[in-house]
Amino acid sequence: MPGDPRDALRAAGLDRLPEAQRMVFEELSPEELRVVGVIQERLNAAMPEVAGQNNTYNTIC
Amino acid sequence: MTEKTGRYFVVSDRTYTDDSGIQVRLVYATRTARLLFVIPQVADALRAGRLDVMSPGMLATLREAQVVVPAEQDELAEVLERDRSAARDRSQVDFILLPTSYCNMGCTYCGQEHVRGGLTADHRDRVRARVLRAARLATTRRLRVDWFGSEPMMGYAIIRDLSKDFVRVAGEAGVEYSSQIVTNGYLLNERNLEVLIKECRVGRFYITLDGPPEIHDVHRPLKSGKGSFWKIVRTVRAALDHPDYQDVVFQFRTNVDVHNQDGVARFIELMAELGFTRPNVHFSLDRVRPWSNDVSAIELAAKDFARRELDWLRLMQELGLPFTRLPHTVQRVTCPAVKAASELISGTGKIFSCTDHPLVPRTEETAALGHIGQDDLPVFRPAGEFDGWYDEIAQGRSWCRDCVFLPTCGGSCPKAWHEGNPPCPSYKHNVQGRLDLAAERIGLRPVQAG
Ligand code: SF4
Ligand code: SF4
Repeated sequence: MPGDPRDALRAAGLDRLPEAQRMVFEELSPEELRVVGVIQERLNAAMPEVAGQNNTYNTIC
Repeated sequence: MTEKTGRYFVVSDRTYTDDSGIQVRLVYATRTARLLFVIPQVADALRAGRLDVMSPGMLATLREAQVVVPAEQDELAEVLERDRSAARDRSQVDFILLPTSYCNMGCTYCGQEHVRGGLTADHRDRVRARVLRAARLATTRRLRVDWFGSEPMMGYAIIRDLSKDFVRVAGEAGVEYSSQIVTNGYLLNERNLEVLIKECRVGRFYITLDGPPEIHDVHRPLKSGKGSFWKIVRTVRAALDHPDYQDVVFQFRTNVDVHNQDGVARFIELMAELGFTRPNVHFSLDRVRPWSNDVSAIELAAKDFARRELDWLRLMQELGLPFTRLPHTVQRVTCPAVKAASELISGTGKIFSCTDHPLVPRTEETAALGHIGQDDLPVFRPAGEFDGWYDEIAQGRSWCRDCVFLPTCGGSCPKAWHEGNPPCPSYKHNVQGRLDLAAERIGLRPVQAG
């Protein structure tokens, strides 16, 4: 169906998630589902980042 | 099961949108350090404590992020117990080793006293034996050795000598080994970087650059009077192109005070021009703070720094320099000083829990918990000043008990609290601006009011 929010979900690869997580998405409202699809696609496309460690050493050197 | 909205989350004040027309607000869940993108109605419901209007899927998502929790749960107690248990954990043993007490720099804001000389041969053997004993304990799964200063590269030969045995014995014992170094970077070169990375298994380099060359070289002068910026930058930049070093992290830290604040933007532009826009690079900006020395004449006020920092972070984002918008991981152990299986051994062989203690003359004299030369040293260090930190939080002896960021911050620096200098990270003051950056990073823009 054109405009089906599940299309966005599929595009973002969320339809390949494990069963339990997919069920969570299936219980979202249509608008929530659309948002998740769009956001996930963008997050997937963003450059991965290493985690900066906060406060490993609170030092000035 | 009845549920409630928890106390550990921050909702963005702003709504964001894009050309597709979606509207979202951000929820930063501090108990799990997760950033959620939710529709505005959900954000409003969270702020109002209304769970009845949420879809089952959203409730499940919020539950998983620990934004929605069981009604009877005492969240502060849960967070503190999680942290206490991590601080007691002995499966990971950490050593912070200072191969020397000397530094080749004389930074304008530094409170350290630098004396020449490194670990004596006898002390070095005792340090080796102590670390190896910990590596061989049946309870040890991971061993981390961090090289720290003054300037640890002044003791490069010691690092190399000790690491050889640490890596070998960890391998024999089936223990995961990792290592980091906090260095001013001046003594790094192509050859010793290779040894540090491949032999000594150093996986993360913390290097301080305080601005573009004309500022860095004045703010952090070598004792010889020479500049260091270009030597440090060229060495690290070349390393970024090395195919074997793609998993090694180079973390640049900039200490900001009244003298270099106006050079920070130029520094960011220069680092981007030089190509430090790599995923294994990380930048952070930190306010110069008292370090048992008086920096009141040069220190920036926390809120002023946080405001300016947002402009600098936005510039980093525009130019593609990696930095942390908000912590991606919770801070289970606040810092080495609260962890039972963590200790620092200084260049004179004294054992401390806090990394600042050996670097300041007064505490170097008074705060040692033992000495490597003692024959009766227990396997893990004796208790130090900060081992009761989580109880202090529970008792309300800092602001942390009531702070939404406790799970990601852990109280930042117990020593600073004891000295009466609240050490809150800047994101406490500029979290809304950082949420804007997190949204803008994926192409969302704030919805204009009205
Ligand atoms: S108490 Fe502060 S100075 Fe000491 S180790 Fe912890 S963070 Fe560092
Ligand atoms: S140090 Fe500051 S930001 Fe961190 S938990 Fe304590 S009050 Fe909160």
